[in-house]
Amino acid sequence: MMMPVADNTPAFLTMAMAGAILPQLIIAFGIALALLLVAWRRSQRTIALFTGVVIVMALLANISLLVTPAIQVTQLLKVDGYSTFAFSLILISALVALPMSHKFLSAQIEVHDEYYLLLLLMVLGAGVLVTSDHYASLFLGFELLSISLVGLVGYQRESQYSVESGFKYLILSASASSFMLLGIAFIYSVSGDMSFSAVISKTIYNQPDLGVFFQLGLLLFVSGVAFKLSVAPFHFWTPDVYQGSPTPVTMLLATISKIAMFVVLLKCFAAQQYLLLENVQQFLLIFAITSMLLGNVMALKQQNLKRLFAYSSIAHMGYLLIVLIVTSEQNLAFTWQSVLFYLAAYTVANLSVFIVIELLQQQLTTQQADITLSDIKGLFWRAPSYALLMILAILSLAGIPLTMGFIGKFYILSQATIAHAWWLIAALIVGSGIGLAYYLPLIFKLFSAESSPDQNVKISVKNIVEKVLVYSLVGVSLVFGIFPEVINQLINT
Amino acid sequence: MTSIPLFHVLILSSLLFAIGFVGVVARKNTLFILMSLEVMLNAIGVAFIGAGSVWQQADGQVMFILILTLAAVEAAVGLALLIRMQKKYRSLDIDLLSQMKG
Amino acid sequence: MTLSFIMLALLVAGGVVWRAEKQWQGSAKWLSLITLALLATVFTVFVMSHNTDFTQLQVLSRVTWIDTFNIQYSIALDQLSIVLISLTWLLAIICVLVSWQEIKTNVGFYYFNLLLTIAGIIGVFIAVDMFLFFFFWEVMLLPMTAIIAIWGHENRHFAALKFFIFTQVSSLLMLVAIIATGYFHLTQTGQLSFYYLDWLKLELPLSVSQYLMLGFFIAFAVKLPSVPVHSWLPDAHTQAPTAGSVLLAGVLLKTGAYGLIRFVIFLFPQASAQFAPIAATLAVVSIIYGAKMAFAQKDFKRLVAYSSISHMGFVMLALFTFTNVAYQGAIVTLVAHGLSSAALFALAGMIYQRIHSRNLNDMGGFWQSAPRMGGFALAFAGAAFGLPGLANFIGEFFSLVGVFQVMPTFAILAALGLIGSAIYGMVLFQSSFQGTAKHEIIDLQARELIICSSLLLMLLAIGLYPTLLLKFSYGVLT
Repeated sequence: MMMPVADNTPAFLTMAMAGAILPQLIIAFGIALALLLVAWRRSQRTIALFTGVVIVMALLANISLLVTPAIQVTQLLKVDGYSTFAFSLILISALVALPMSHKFLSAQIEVHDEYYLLLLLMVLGAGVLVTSDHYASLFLGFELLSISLVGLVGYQRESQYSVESGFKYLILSASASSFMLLGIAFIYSVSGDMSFSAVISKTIYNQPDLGVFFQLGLLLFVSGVAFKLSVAPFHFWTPDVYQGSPTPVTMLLATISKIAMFVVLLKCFAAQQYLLLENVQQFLLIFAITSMLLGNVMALKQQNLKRLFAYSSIAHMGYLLIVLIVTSEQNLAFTWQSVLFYLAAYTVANLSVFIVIELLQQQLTTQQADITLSDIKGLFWRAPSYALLMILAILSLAGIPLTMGFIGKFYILSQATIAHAWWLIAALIVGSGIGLAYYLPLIFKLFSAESSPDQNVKISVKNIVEKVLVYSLVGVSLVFGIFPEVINQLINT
Repeated sequence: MTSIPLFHVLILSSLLFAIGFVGVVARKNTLFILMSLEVMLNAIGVAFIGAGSVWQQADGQVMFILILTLAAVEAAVGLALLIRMQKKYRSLDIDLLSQMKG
Repeated sequence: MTLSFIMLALLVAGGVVWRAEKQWQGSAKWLSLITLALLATVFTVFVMSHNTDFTQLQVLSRVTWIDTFNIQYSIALDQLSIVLISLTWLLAIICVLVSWQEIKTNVGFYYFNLLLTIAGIIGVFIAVDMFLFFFFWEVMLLPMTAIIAIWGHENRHFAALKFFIFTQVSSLLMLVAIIATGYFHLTQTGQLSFYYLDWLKLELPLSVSQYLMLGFFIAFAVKLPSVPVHSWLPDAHTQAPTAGSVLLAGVLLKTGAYGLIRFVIFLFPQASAQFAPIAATLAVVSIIYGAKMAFAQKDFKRLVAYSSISHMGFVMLALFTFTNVAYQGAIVTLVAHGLSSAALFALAGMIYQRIHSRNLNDMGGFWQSAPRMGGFALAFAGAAFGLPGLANFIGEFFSLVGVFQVMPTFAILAALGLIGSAIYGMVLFQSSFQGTAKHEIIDLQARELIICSSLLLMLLAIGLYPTLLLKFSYGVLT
């Protein structure tokens, strides 16, 4: 007997639908072709170039999609303006990480082609995540993203931390995805429909036996996602993995996985109106406040730059959660705008910071050792462009006007003020204040006069690609900090 | 054939999951940790199958196939890392992996 | 248009100056001086040739900026802002003159920061869109913090950090208040607006407006500064380079007072009236506490810093009486204090350059070797404690008259502060210029003479003929 499939959309794929997921398709074909390319010729430059071409093509296809209305592609995916914008951010991050990865890998003796494959797989996973409309595609994208990241985190065999961080990330990520899956299983078992657009009546929540499972499932689901977002109290992997993975991978971790996960979380919650549930709001509230406070406090005593920014990213996810908690049915569009703008600001800042750390690692240290606070002393006088980039990035993270980060914070504060969420606002203000206490000394260190002789290593921005990256990021954060309308228009289409 | 109430399936699944989770947390040998992860995933599979059967949909079984795939992939990656760990530390004790502090 | 051009010109000039210093050593200070003088003249000509007399707020530009929030780039001038901007120009030129010999490292970057701070301060005084105001409020902080952190004295990082964090946290509270008021405007009129003139027409219930007022008040109280959020000031003033202190004391503190007048009192009159007793108490505590702490200091600059707290307490007390006389007094005190504390900090810088110490114990008997400096020091110390004939006296007198009309007890307590100021003024002068000579110092040179005499001239002019200033500030209240 044929079991009917729970589906009520037409089963065929129209041209419009295929066009809507063209970016993801390009990446998928790119992966297949890259495999063949690796088999044909093992040269790092070739595959790096090829990956770059694939990502650029996908980006172009994606940008052309920004103006099309929402399309439901099969039951699993729904491509709308918000997901295209998020995917653009993801593709741009991957594009920025590419030359950094290339530089990083070419310093090693072996030819490392698989890295680019894993990168493309990650991007594909993220692409599936941001367009997903169904728990199955959420799961697929999530796993594609996670497993590729595990491979990338533990990529550098020679590094002393690779095994440790790789294993930590694998075990914790697998546990988290199991939690999430169990949550989905419970939700599915009670509601019978795994699509985001399913309408679940209130009576289901309050069933005598199964209602408990539904709420439990929701909690488990949120926990699994919170792990990926490095939201407290599921943040314990973040500093170690950030520190132990190669810096281009940290760049990807900090940007792509966060963007993708948050967008899908917002999609899921908005569509299913989970936020109207009391328990969910309370849990998210606790998560948000803990993240904001803990992230900032723990960063205070960090000497290692990567760990410092890991803790700061925990705090930033806390700030973003505020928007999720206070959103309501009426201002969903405004919520999307706030979230996407803040993610854009956060991405630009993180990309900038990790570019500087990576460039410093290559030029200052021999064994890709960790960059600590003492390494950036006096950077402004030795390599002004790097320092300028870092300063703008830190100001953006701290939320000072002139930068995108401030506009993002303004969005968040507006949302929270409209919703009268005073505790969240208080936590945000306290968190930002504490944040300044470690962001500003970083900037001061950049300006301090050189003291020790081994600091006189000349740092120069040699590569043309690096120059382009550094200056364009500087330009972007300044321009969009002063004229954010451009991005607003982009998001709104 | 009497049908098993969904509630019982979910309880079974939760118990299996809990066993797996305790294994992940409490075990010292990384190989056993990987095995416990598999137990967790299969527990989830049980829940999906049960749910699919209750709702008379194929979705549950489709998800189970996906989960099996995931389990295989995770095992592959996990074992690769395991081999690396064995080569480096000559042991599979998870307590050796705590160099990064702070 | 002209004002935006002036701010942009300052920014561009900053860049030019920075680059120029790399090519030709020593060109930065001349270029900055010329730029400031030029732009000050442009400003004066613009104000004089404008067809209104600026008693009412004149909106000069209004351009859409961030459409999503209906935020506009709106700037306006009225007599209050003209007075304060003129003070800014004068003190900016004094700053350049003061830093002439003092800054030796990274000179170009220093003048870049200086010009940028001036641009930010002017922006604060002319912005009438609240978002734009907040933008400039924060932006003027950045180069100022850089100046303290890079060219300051031994404990400069801590001082700069404290300065920034205090201001930033209080500004965030103000931002929440700004957003809340904007959205209140939305609920009342159906349109989101951050425009000051729109806000003036808002009808706010007291329960709401008292919190909004508080948000603004805290930010301005930190800037003023007022006890209990004053503790950033002594450190920042002491650790900053001389020009930094001059700019901080002379102008940045005035932005706090400006904010109180323009936003707290005009936007939320009922809430301010209700809050007035608390504000007045805080002010009186500032006056007396500032005077007492000043008396106990051994560091020249720290003493002057505490005296600033004391004087600004007078300003806050005067503002919260809502009488015309007190307003006049407050504005005169603002200008006078700007000039006199700038002068005292300049003197401190001159002494530091000579003996490399700010400690009063290291000083003494300078009158014998530097009688001109001593004369000026006596005059400025007299200004600090309100000697009649100098501008500060006018300010304090009018303030006390106004306060006495409304809150007589507070006036009496504040007058006690006057006695305190006399004590610390004389302590300052005697420890440094009288007594046994510890060092021989060079007397005032030409550049320093220009600085001191111009400041003294302004103080005397306003002190002997206050209408010079009062005819500009009379229209503020209406």
